[in-house]
Amino acid sequence: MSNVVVPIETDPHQFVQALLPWFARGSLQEDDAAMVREHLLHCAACRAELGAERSLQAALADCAEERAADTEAALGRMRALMANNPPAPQPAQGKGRWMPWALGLQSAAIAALLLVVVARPALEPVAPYKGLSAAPTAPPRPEALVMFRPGAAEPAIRKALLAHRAVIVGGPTESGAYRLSLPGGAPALAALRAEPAVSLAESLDPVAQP
Amino acid sequence: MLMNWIQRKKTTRPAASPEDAGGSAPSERAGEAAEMALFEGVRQGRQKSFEALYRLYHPRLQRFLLHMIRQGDAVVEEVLNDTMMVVWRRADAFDGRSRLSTWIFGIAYRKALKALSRMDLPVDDADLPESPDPAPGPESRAGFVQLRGRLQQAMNELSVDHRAVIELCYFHDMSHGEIADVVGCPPETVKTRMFYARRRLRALLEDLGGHLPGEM
Repeated sequence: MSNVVVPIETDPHQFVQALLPWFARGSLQEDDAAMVREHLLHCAACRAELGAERSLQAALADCAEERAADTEAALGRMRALMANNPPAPQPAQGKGRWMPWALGLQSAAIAALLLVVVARPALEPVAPYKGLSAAPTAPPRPEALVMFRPGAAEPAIRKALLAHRAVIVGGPTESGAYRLSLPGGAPALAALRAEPAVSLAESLDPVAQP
Repeated sequence: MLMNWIQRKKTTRPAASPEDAGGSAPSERAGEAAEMALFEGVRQGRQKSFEALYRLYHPRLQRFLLHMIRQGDAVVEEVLNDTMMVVWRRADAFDGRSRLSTWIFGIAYRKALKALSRMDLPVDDADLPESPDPAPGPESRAGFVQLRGRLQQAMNELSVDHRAVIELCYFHDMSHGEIADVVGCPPETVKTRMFYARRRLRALLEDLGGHLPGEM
């Protein structure tokens, strides 16, 4: 592999043109983007280069091959590999020395906390207080991660979400996944997974995972 | 003024971070938090968390590795599963200084390079023969199938370094700082590679049958 990289920083046109792929996608940091915009105002050659860059990106996007990934089959083979390769044990430096002390301190802290919590109501009844700006309820807790099938129509997605009282609370991730609040728990998750518009539905609740 | 800015950029190297690429949207950050929640399960050895993470990353890694290695599905899957095996066994090695996706793609990139060298395949376009002339003819120049073929052939003619920056920028939406983290080089090198990769790609496309749609 050739490691010789010819620097381009000395030529302002080359420097700007090297940033055009990110500029055209709108993913350049603002200070870089501002300088590119300013350079483009005065440079017809770089403006033409930006036009060519946009054509290239449009062609690449149009021609991007949509390849059906057989994820489940690959995951099946991955499971077989994992069976022979358990995760590396976590480093346990000095575990034997500090662990009993840490557990002892933790127990003492828990006992003190229990004393405060149990004894306090008897000593001083606390009147319920609610501020004017207090939120009426806690925000919905995200409980699942979901991906929809490529090409799934919006009505099908909406129907699947409504059927299981699921609410999108985050996403999409770079992988195209969304976070859901799913009050129905594991049964709702299983039902959601069976929806035709859904390609993946996994719990984010650590308790629900083995 | 531009030269001053270039000098300033050379002395203040941008670090790849979740705030790179002009800052993350709140929904994107929430999505990353969800991926991190799964990864935390992987750290604790929970297979179900790992499988969820595998399902999320499999399509993206498959696309990336197909274009990097240019081999059959079996080789690509072997490299992909090698990559995810590192995620499973060495989750403790992720220190959180970059995005999780950057870390995983960095592993995949290094595994791809190893696979290429193991198969004794060229990793630099200097070793590649000149592109054979597909001779589509001016009458068949237009058309989606021909254009896709030309683009794929042009991408295949790029060196692995150049293919990586094109692939990660155009198809995985990574900033130059993130690409630098993935391929293990300074961000300035990524920009330089991108400059020459685009130039080579366009020259190859012209050799292979003319201009892109919309290009004069």
